[in-house]
Amino acid sequence: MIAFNLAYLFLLKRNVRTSNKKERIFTGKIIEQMNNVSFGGKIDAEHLLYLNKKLSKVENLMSFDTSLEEIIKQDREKIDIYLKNTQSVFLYLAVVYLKKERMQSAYFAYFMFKYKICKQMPFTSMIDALKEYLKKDSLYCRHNAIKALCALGSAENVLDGLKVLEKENIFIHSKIVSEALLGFEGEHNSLISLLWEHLFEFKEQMQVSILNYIRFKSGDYQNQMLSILKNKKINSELHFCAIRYFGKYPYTSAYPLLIAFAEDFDELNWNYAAFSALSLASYPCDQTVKVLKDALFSSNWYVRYNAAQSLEILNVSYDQMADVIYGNDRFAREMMMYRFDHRALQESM
Amino acid sequence: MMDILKLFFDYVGIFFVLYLIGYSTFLFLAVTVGSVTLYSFKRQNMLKNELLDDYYVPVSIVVPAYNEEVTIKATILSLLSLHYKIYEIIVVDDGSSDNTSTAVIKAFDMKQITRPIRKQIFCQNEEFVYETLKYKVPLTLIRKKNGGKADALNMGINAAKYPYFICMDADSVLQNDSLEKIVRPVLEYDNIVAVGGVVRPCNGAEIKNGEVINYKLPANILACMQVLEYDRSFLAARILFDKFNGSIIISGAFGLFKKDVVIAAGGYDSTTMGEDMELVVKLHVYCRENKIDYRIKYATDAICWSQVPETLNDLRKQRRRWHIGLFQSMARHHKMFLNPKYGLVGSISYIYFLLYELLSPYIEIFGVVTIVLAFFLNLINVPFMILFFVIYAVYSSVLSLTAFFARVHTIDLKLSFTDVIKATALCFIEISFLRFVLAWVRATALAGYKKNKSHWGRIERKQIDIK
Repeated sequence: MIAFNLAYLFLLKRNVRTSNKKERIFTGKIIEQMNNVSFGGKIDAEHLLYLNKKLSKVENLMSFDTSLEEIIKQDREKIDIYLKNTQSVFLYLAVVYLKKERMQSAYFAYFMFKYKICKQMPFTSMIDALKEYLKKDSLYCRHNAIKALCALGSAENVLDGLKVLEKENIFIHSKIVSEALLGFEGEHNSLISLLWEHLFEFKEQMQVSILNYIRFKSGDYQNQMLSILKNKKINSELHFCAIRYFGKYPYTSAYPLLIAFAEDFDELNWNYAAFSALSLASYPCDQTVKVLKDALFSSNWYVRYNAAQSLEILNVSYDQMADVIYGNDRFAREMMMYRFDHRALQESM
Repeated sequence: MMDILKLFFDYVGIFFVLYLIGYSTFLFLAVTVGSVTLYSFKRQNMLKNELLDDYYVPVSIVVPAYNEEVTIKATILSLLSLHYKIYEIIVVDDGSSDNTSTAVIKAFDMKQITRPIRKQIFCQNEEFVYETLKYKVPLTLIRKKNGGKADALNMGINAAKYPYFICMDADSVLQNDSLEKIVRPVLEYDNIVAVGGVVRPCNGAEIKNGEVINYKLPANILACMQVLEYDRSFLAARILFDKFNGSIIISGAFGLFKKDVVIAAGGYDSTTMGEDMELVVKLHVYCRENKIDYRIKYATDAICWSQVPETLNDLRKQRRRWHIGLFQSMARHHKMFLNPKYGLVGSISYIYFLLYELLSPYIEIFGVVTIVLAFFLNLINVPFMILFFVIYAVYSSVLSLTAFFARVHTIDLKLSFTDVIKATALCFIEISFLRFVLAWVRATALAGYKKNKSHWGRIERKQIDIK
């Protein structure tokens, strides 16, 4: 076992030494080629062949990555030019790494995202290759590939990417999709508009991710969100997204619906009432306060909790809530008292 | 008479050969799969196969505390220094007889509030609730009537705001990146109901801001042997069970659970001593009986540092409690045994825990008694027996060390040469001495266990070296 331990440590040290050596070689060659290009020359064909051969091994690609990282610290622009001039290499590597096991594919997708390779060379074959990475059975590969697509800044390609994910029936958490969309490096309005156009081509989970993304990025979709809220044929999760949207971006036309939901004491519709009670905090008026006060008497805990929270946000006074505080409903009273205590805690900070 | 005895010893011999083949095969598989997984995990990290962005699933951390006046402040401070962004801390004081609550209230300048708690799972009533919003995340203290650790955890679940909760011990320290790591399976799979974290003995480790800055094997020999035992028996075995969704233990010191499923399954059982294991078995039963697609994962990089006992008496108490808990969980869910409805959990996991955990102390002691008897009856080949024992010790030691070094190497801990020698020497002692002592402890554990139904297991603690 000691022998195993020593052998492992020896291998580890050897690997570090080898990586350092490779990094030095790559750095030298990259700088040499960068200089060629900056003096109006071209990247040597020999160098491209060298990269094709060497970077097909993931350990070498990692060393190459480290070398680029070091050079970028001094000259980002030159590296961009260098990468643009080595596009044939990355196109070749995209095919090579697609066939490799998933960890290596994920690393290549990470590399593509990190150096915005697609942005350097936005031609169809490269983007198509990237879309293939979305099909790989690896969360990390899909995650990096969708981020690389978003970094490209083309709304059409992002839409295509999402469709690939949808078609492959691959689970990818809605938070990951929403975050990737938020990292889109193009015009968000055009992406939102395109995604909205195709919203109902996606399944519910992807729709939720898209609506969440819209909520974070644009307040201009109130009408469309209202149409979702009014559409009784679609899944309730989408309705909840719309209700939350109206909590962030108040919309007068949505107000009667929110009120109606909050007033609905039917236990089957408790989640509509709970979400609406929360969103109503953005609609300060007497009617809102009245409806929220009534919601405090709901039999559902979450409805009471959210109603009390909204009343706290609306800054209702103790006097305004006297009927609840001194009333007979212990649950409503406790919930409201908690919010008053909570407000005091916040004020004492 | 002698013929009958010979026949008896023959059958005993056959039984032990089969039993040991089973155990050694399992151990070999567990350590091999465990080590391969750990090395693969290291490679995965090198190849940036990780979610590098901040994805936060909100979690509630429930810290049940009983007479933790000395350690609770340090525990909460360490929780407040975690890298994670969206979480809350709920400390549940289970009617401590010392000043646990006062210590928390004073240290964190908390204010009493009238917080309604939705009792979805039964637990003893709260006496008072304090909160503070002065720190990076909300901190809540709930003082309740004494009801045991499970009851305190149930109170924490009832008070938790977020859809996932983490249970931990009041005297443990979470590594600063542990929350990111333990929630990762939730982002990877859509059917996670629980994730187990790795509990590592912190004796000997120096921890600063939730990170180990200096690691060496503990000076205390007993603690040191447990380090080796943890890697072989717990880490490796759990990785193997994880491969087929067969984990039936998530340590109470660090685990993440989906709140609504736990509530639907009935929460922690306050009548068992092994509430952590019982909950996981119950989740398997609940999900399978209700045909819920589920997965219970083990996060090998989500690390919690916890103290292991440094005296034989404390170790005896701890293992006794574990064994009773194991017995209660297995007895309560005996219907899983070889029941096809429960898949591999009912067959492989249940049988392993039955034969090699629950019954193993009795079988081992029976084996030792038989050897002694056979020796006196001159029915044993002594040189062969010694050779057999040496093979057993070497085999087990090699596997222990493989698991140990795999763990050390894959998380880039640096060991001194002295520690390497120490680990190599102590694994023999652990295999050939401590194992039999613990077998005796576990064999006698069930005597009179009903007396302490909702007992808090106490061992002598030192302040964890947190800077």
